[in-house]
Amino acid sequence: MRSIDAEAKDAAAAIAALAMRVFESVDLVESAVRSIFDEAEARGVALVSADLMRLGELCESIVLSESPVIQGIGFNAERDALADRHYAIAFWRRNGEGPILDNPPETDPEKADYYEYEHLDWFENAREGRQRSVAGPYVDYGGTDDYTLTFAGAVSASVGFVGVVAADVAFSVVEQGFAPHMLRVSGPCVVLNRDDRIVVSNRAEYSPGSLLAQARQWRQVLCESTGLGWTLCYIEEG
Amino acid sequence: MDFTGRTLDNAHTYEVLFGAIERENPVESIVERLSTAIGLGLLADGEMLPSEPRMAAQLGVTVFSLREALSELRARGLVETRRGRNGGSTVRRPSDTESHVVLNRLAMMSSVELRDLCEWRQMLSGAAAMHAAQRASSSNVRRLRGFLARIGVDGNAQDVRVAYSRFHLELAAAAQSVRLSTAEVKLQGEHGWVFGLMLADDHQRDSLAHRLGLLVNAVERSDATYARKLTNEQARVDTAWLLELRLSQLARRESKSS
Repeated sequence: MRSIDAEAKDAAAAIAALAMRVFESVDLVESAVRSIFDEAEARGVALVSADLMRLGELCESIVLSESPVIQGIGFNAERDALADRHYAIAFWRRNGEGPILDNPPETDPEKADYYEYEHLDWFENAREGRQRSVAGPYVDYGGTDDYTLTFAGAVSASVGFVGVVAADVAFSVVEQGFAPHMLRVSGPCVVLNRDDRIVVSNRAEYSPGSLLAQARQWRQVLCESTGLGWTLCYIEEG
Repeated sequence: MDFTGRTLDNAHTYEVLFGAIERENPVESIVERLSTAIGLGLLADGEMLPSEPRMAAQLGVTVFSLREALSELRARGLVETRRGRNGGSTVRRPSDTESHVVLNRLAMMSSVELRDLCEWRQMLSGAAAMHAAQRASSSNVRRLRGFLARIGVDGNAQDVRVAYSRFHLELAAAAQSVRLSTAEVKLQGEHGWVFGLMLADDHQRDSLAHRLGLLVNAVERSDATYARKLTNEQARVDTAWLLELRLSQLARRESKSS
């Protein structure tokens, strides 16, 4: 019989590989955004929010891919990185079976329903210099309005930090995707994020979204993928 | 790739405002919703409304119902419509609209309706506070304090109201509950104006900010019982104050008419 350590190690590696796929899409968009900013800088022209629409084709292809994992992807500009607006979002998301929506949340601070993205964890992480990070699971009110994970990549152009590429993955998709791997571990096991919050678990008593008390008493194995910051914690039953 | 599953169809705050109207008496519903939105400043003075066909589609009503509603809003001086190629309807918000519209609406609510609303506020905040105390992260707490600071600032009324609404949304989000957050968005969209009345009163606002500060502290130290107790106390104070305000409005109208 295999040891629980080996089972946990396999699960952590499989989960890290799935997460890595999401980051690959984030990287593609990050590189496209960087080109747009660097090109404008080289030509000495100021970028405006409409220029971000050039990301549409790439972002649409990502959210329409054959096995869609990413529900929405796009770019959130750092305050005043664009010439025409303090804040701007260019975002493309799938809406059920319907068409791609490219109407991002309101970003005008004068409006009551504006989306204050610059104080969300994934934006602050990037602004503080973390190239990649994952936020959540969290309730993305004002954004997807759903229980969501956001995979983020900081965009550092030649002029410096200009904003963040964010890819939203619905929690339900993550849970479904990770479940088979989690269930192959014979003891109780959970994936914890940086806040010690449970991302997924293979036991009902450890509920995703809650904080795991005494996480340090569990055995741990890292889900190795740059920027992910997740740990698979497990204990032997008995 | 191994991920499977379906994404949910998501509502957005904007859709609460422009989402489908209830079937019974659509004209009245449109008038009520738009006049409230104008009174609250969600639709700004001078703002162009979407074209009639688009707006009718968004609200899920016929163009005929919409036109009838717009005509009523014109009669109340809340929109202006220009015909022709560059035509359309524009929001008009006289400076005294807000307090007038809002106080009038409060007086029109029944006392039971108002009490029920305050108890719903209590149920949502109480549940959110309890679960947030068990599940909030340090960044939830940081954002709660940020919104709280904006409630205490002598800014314009809309900023304070937005901060109050965001505070409660963040609390529901800290509870990790999509249902609580959705219910909170709906409550703020439909009845945020009622809580706006409390925030417009300096004394009420200061005491509210003080209690919400205690609530954040309780959430931070994971004291679910005390967090819930604080929301219950808050609801008692708010309910009494709003019921009094309603009665004083009724009394004022009575003395005017006699």
